[in-house]
Amino acid sequence: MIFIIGGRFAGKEKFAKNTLLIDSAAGYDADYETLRTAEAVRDFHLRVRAAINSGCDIKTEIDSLLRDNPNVIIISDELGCGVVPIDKTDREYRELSGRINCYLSERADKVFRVVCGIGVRIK
Amino acid sequence: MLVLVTGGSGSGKSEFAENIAAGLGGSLTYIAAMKPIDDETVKRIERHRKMRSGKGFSTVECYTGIKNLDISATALLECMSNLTANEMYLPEGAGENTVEEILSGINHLRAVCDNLVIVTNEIDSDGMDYSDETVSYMKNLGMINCKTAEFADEVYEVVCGVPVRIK
Repeated sequence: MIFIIGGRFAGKEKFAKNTLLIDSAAGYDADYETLRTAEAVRDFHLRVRAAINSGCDIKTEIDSLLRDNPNVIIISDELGCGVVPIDKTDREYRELSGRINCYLSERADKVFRVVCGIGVRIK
Repeated sequence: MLVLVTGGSGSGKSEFAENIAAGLGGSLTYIAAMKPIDDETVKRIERHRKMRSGKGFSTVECYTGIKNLDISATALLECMSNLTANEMYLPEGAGENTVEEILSGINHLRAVCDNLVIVTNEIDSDGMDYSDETVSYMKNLGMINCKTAEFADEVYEVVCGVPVRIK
């Protein structure tokens, strides 16, 4: 698995297309069957948020996905570089998305952080 | 030579960019994009003036339409986040054509100057939801940043005062 992080609108998907040569990325809300065969999945942080709302265990899903589709590219926004949100649910989401990003990084073969469209390999 | 310097607020990117520009030589022009509209902006501008005093910059205030600037040698443009907001929201700005306007302005400055240093801002990593209008501002700045980085000879992200060269 290759993991790509970076701020919003930083050019992460374009980097995946130009440099890692993928044709397309599945949306964060794609069903699991689609993810099993997808080249990439975008906005993974939003899947984390959806999992909080639906009570689904995102780590279990990640474990299955990495077994079923070990070469998938996962693209996520890097959150947490701002003021702590006032709303409790926002705080939980922000915290969990950070923890999940660490979980994904640990399991990734390569990690790229994209800044101004430039991918910097950090793992 | 085109250098892009990015970073979060308070990361030390301005001082780093000033030193880069000063090191490139020639007469130095500081293109100031922040419009003094209240106490806070006036104070911020004053802080930047002090920081660059003695480094040899002459200041040109330009809130919109950088493609009309008549300058040469080495220029430091600060900050792309202000310029983008000005073009989008000021009555004399480019409005919906902000991205094209700014990119053609950058091309103009690259043509007339020997060296151009541009300071921009990382604003997209807090994970909060914003209004559609704010999201379109974030998107425009993101597009301008990616495009500028593509043209740039050098790109730096300044983190806690430490410049990390990413291109």
